[in-house]
Amino acid sequence: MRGQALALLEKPVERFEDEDVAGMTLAELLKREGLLKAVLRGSYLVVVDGRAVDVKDAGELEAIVLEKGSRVAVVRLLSAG
Amino acid sequence: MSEQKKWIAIVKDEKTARLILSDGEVELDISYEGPPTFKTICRDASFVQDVYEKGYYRARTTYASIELSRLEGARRWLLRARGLVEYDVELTQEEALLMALIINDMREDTLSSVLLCRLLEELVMETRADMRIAAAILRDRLGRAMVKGISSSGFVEPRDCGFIFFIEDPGQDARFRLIKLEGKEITGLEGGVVLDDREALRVLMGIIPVEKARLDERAERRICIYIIRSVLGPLAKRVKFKKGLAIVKNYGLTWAIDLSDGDLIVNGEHICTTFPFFARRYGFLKLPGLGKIGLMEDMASVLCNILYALMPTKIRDPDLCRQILAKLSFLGDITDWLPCPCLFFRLWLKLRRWLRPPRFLRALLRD
Repeated sequence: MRGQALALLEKPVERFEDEDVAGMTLAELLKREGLLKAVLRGSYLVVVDGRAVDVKDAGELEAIVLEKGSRVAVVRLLSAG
Repeated sequence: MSEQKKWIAIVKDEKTARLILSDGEVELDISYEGPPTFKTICRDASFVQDVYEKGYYRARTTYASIELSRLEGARRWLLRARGLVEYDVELTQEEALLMALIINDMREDTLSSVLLCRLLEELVMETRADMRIAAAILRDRLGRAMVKGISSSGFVEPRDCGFIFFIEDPGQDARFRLIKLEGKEITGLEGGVVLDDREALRVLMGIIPVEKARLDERAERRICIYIIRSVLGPLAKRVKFKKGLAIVKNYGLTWAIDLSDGDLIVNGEHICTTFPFFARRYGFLKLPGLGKIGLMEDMASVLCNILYALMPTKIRDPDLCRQILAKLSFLGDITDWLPCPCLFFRLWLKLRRWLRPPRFLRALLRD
């Protein structure tokens, strides 16, 4: 059993790239995740490659085209407790 | 009918009781989490006697069936787990009885939490046997346990540093996916991560699936730092990590974020931040090579507060702006009456930046 488990661990690690975001617009990505409306309402902070995206309308999101290797973070905004 | 053997209970110290079978065949030291009551010792003695006489104990937990049985013609017992965790361990008589007692306590804990009476139970609950004993026994005896979670699978092995979960299939769990891919860099273990002792025991007893287990504190922190660096990219250079805190110096203020729960401390003042009560989704990350990672509350809180620290002008919540102004600016309680707190907050930040002495002067003053 140990040998079997070790063999599994030694398998080349697969990258978990279930999809490629290259060529997709930020609006499309958010729409697919069901967060477009919430982002436009200002409930989330969007950061692409370390830069915050100022969202005023959907057009601006359409203009941002993601590249291969883009890092996107969509984080719910905190408010005062 | 066979004559029932008698047990003698001796209180060794305020947290330990010794149970001795009248003929001295079994001597059992039970360590408790707190000072046990007389009732607790009697209850445990009666339970141990029952298991000893039957030579068999079986417990069904949420994810496993645990069986302890005396091996014929020997003073050895076999602990067998089947279900989402699978392992066989041979134990001595004393170890087996202690394990039975602890499994029984853990099972009762689960039942009470299922019945939502946990809080009420805490108030009247009796002291329980220390779970660390079970962890120590399994650390000595366990070879390997095959573990399946909701979507992940792998095996748990005890090592010097604790119980390590070696991941075969990380499933949907973001932490396990990260460790499987970057384990060497994050935890120093190829495809494995150290579980918190108590949590490992709960996994091995089938009380929680492996995905719900808290990792070792250091591993959790390293994963957190790795995610922060991946998300921020070049901005991460402005974040320093020290003693479980992410520290950002911005606008002449020192912003510290607790990596364990996302607490925000600005210039030593605690700023209370929270997600709206009705929030169910905290956002997601899309990182190259890792795909989509859904954020949990703590991680979202850490990330959001770090982004606030790096870009305080992005704070749009008026109450949060008021709170920071009230605690850190000359305005104090007047902020309660300010009509546009966010605007004042941004002006205050700009003012701090403009009025700041130049760098060489600050360096001179420091020296």
